Amino acid sequence: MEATTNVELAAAESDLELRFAAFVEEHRERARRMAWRLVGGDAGAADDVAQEAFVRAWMGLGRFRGEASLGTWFYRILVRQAAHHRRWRQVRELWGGIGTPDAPDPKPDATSDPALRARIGAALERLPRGQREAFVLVHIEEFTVNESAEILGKAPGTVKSHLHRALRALRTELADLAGGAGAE
Amino acid sequence: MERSRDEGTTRNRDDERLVERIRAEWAPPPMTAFERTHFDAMLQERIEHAHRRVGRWPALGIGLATAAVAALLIVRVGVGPAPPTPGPLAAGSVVPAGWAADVLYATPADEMTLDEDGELPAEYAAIAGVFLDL
Repeated sequence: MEATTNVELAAAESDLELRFAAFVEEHRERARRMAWRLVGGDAGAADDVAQEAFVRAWMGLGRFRGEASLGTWFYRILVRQAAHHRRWRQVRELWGGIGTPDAPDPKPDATSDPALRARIGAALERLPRGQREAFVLVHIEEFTVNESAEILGKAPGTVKSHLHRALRALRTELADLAGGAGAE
Repeated sequence: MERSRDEGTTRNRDDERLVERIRAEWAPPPMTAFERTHFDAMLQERIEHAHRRVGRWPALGIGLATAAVAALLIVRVGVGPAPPTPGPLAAGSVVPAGWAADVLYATPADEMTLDEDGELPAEYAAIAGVFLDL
């Protein structure tokens, strides 16, 4: 009887591991890309944040109640982890003088303009955290407002307000990207 | 998936262009096969490390509980440090004598013996008789 139970437990655990591996496979790329955008374009930090989010999701699977979708729950962890990373980076920079600022992406996309990327990165950095997160989730990662509200733990109305302000700020900072002439 | 613009976050053409441009430029290059493998290997290692870290807490808890029980038993049984014994006198020092020796070398055992064997002076015995009905 006990042996049967052990076998069943092992099978259930194995099944859970397989399902989690499939989840990682499905979300790895997006998680890393989203982390990259949230932490300010640093590939190493993005890997770190995404991996830590997966670890926390795996360790906390027992606490997942199914109130949100597994994906929403996971991305909530990821956004928090990215915010945590940014806070510690600020502390390191504050107390360590020049500290160890995150290195720029060592392998930027060959088709992109590094100066333009730097400008976009700087404009996003200047946004308050709530606006930046809402902008990245809704406009860049294409989550719905309701999904983003759930991920960010805010009311949909608050997310819309953040989006409006973020877009207004970016429109001013990156005006040449919005206009037809400057865009091409 | 329902798109954001369907929920009242409509953007004009310029904003659309701005957002498209940011989305295209502000993105890491796609992961290579090697990067994916490396990512998964690192993730596996971190998960195993996290399991080990969590596994240490119960062991630490058991250790602390054992230590607490042992400390409690020691207190209850009364096993404590031995009373200090007079250390060896330094060579050439003056050896106390008389009342000084009594004070310095008196032990609880001596006091007990004195209390048990000695009799109370008459005036104290009378007072004790009043209160203790002797």
